[in-house]
Amino acid sequence: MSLPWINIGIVLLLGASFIGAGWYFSRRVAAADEYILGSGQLGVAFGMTSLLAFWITGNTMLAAPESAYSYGIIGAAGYGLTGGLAVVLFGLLSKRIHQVIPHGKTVGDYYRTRFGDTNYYIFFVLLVIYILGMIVTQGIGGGVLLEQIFDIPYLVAVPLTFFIVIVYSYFGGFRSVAGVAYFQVLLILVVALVVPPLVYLNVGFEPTYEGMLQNAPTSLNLFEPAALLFLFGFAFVGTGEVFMDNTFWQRAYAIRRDVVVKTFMLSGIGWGLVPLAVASLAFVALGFGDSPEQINQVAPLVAQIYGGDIAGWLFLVAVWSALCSTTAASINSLATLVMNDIIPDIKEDVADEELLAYGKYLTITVGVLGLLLSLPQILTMLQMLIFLGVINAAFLFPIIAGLWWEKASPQAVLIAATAATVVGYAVYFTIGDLQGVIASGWVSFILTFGISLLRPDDFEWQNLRDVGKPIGGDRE
Amino acid sequence: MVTMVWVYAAVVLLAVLAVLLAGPYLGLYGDRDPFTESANEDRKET
Repeated sequence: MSLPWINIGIVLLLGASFIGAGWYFSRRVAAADEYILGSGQLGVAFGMTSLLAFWITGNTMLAAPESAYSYGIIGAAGYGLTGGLAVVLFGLLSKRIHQVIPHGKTVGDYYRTRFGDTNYYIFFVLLVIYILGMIVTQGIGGGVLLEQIFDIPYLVAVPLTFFIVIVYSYFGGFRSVAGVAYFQVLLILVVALVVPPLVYLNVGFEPTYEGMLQNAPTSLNLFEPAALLFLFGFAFVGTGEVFMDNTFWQRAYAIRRDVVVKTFMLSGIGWGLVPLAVASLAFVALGFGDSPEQINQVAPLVAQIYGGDIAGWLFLVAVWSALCSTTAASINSLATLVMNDIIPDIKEDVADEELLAYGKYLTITVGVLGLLLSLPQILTMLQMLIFLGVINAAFLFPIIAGLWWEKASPQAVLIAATAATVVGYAVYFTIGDLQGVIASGWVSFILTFGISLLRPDDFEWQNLRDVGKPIGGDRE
Repeated sequence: MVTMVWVYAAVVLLAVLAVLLAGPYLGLYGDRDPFTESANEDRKET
């Protein structure tokens, strides 16, 4: 079998530049805290690129067109609006996070102090499942993309991708991941701005619309119940992901307090445009009757058929950059979560250099685990996101209530999160996937607030203010 | 029809979520200023 060396060459060239940049940004990392949060003083520019690089995932580039192909106009709008809205909503919380837990470093710092060890360990286990799931979706997406569209065998593509990501994440942790993300986002945005117009210039808007009207008229229906369910149900998947994911909490802590809300707001609005742009490629497939072997490969297929080789390669660069940035951020997120929350529990009085070394070992461990779990292809990306959305929705209301309301009790949160997960998956498997996410959200909301009203707690906010220590001096 | 019931359930819960998150900015959480004083301090003062 002959390998497509030009495509492999593009991946290797990009990978080498990511590793070089990762090493460059790692030079100033001397302490464990810097491995977790960098300087803790990110401004709007690096804050936005760091957020966009993580949140413009392989899912955004591949599953957004998948949802547009499955649900039409509403699918594209739903993906773009709900993911962007989720970041905007988290922005509303970010200033409060800075206020109540000014020296926190992970979501675990908040959740454990606020709701106690029992709640935290349940949260931690489900969070690990979620982050690993996120890493696996990127791994599978990358492998399938490189194999089906660019002829690089799956078993070569996945290890190659993980090797590059692990190496540059290993050097400087958050600092390397956020630094490399700056360049990755520029690449992604350029491609998202260039490829869809290039394709539409070749095929024309009117023939696409006429084709959709003839081949897939329901894709143009704005009141199709299944599409509306996707639009509103998927909002909980996106919002739950953002609120629970340690990656967003890391960035909320890492961005300066005076610009944190603005940074999240601008990132949310900017993010929404990327999936809308790439999802529009799916309309061409619908209009001209192209059916990909796997639905999540619809956008790269259209880019290659109607945009030519250059558009195909550009799309490869963008999707692969998105996959790398999200995988790196997720690996760093899980490794530093264990490093910050679990290692000090297992080993008392651990020295800072030792903790930093643990962080690096954990980066390799998480990365290799992600690689091994990605080798078998389990679900499509969208299916995996919705499956994990049940867990995300279960923790949405405990997180919000705990940040604002001293009466939100650990007992209520324990019952709410557990019952929401169980009920959510029962509905998921018996009625429908998005219905499971919605049910999980409702159970979480009713039980968190209902039980806390009946048996209120009286949380002392000072406990959260006492968590952690400032990085390089007080940030207040 | 059944699908639309789930759609309405999602819309209502999203509205609840939006109100919860926008509440402090709309002054719905009483007279405490979440960004300058902690809730406990407010409660002790009253």
